[in-house]
Amino acid sequence: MIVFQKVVKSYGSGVNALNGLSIQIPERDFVFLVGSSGAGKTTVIRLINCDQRPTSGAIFVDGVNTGRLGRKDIPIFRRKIGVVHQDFKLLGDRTVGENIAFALRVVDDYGSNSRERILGALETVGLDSKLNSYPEQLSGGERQRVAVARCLVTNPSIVVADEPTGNLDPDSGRETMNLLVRINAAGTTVIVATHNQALVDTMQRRVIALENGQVIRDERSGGYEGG
Amino acid sequence: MKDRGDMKVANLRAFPYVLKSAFWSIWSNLEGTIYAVLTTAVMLLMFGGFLVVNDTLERMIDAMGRRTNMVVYLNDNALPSDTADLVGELENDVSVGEVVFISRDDAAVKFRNTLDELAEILDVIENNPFPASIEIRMNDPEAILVLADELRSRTNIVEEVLIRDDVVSRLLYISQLVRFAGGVLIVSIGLVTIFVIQNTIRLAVFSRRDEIEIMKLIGATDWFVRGPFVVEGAIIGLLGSAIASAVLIIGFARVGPRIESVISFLPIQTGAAFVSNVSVFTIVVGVLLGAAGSYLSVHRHLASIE
Repeated sequence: MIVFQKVVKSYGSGVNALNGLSIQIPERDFVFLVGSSGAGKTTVIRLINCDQRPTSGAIFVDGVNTGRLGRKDIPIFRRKIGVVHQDFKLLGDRTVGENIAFALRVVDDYGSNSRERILGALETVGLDSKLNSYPEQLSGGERQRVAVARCLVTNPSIVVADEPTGNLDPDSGRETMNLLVRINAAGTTVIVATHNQALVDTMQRRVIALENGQVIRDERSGGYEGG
Repeated sequence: MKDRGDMKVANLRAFPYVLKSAFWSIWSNLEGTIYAVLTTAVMLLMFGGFLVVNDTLERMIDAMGRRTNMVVYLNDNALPSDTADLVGELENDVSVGEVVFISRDDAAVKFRNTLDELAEILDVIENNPFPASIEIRMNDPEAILVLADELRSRTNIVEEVLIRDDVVSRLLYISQLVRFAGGVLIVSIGLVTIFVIQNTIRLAVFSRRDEIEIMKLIGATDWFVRGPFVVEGAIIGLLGSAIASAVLIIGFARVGPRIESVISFLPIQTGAAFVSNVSVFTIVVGVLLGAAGSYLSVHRHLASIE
């Protein structure tokens, strides 16, 4: 369960990215965060991942008040959250397999069964044949699926995706989104910040619309524009 | 969530990976690494050289200090028991190396033996004019002035204290100057070495900034991120100090005997034990400076992306 309680986030420019935002996202939920640029979508993602701290208010993730986490506790906390970025954030000098193995090493989970786990994650995203390919040899959609595989291999309970289809063509975007739906169906909470109106309209999932750092719409099953 | 104990075990488990990453980073920035190693070597050669010079000066000062005598003339009416107490007290003083009590009679005999042609003077004088005295050789030359003042204050026993104030003061001044200059030199060498290694590692950090960002997003601890860079800095320090030590050892082997024969009055140590001690110390300092420089560099980067 993710809970935002009257969260304010200010970047010091006098403009608040979030203005007393309060939302609740139960376990296994699939949520689209929509809104125009500057509405606060990315800030919500970064606050969930403890990449930033709220200026005021409280954020609970699986019962943990993230505002009270010490600097040394944050890395361990982040291991329960998988993050997917618009720009994939893959290491160009390493193969697909090495990129995923890297995540296991970072979270101190690299062991004798790692190869099977890496192949399993790649199978989930349909790229098990690309184990030894380098990112530059893959299409945008494939790179994003590798990023998702890297995120899955550490078994996070929450996956947050910031504009995961932003750099992809419509077909690749649809594939990536279907992948996230499958991950959600397997029991993982998925939160997707997106501008992709077509996909949001097609999928008819929970939609939280933000404007000026506040919730203007929260529909159990809705489209990009609402109504 | 894992506790801190688990994290320490995790850090140990990650060590092979940290080592591999460090060597990979050195290989990928070989030119910068060579530059840093050579600069560190020059700095640490100066450091090792200073240790030798400092040791020689300290030995000179010590040797001169040991030759410095203090003579304490005693009152004629000082009680023998007080005199014995004072001698015992001085013998137990750690800053004092040698104490010789010379009675009035001994002083007269010494005068006769030393200045034979003036011995007749004593025959015409009715009473022995020489006071009893205590000759003191110091272990710690720096303590001589304090001890002299303390003895002068004991007017019931002590008539006069004679020391070569000017020699002692000059020795102490030189000693303090050497220590101060040495301190400044060591701090400067340390800062320059740290600066050079810090900049080299900064380049390595910059070239791997994406990797660091991903690590942090996935959940890497600060130590997991810092580890390869700190090891890389320590390796640079190790290589630089090893070169400096090799130059010192070879230099001592070639030049040491010549110096000993040409300026034998200088107490320069050229023994293998001394040279290896200086080398080991230089290597330890090199590794620590390398690790410290890298730590600072990564720490700054991590603070900037936090």
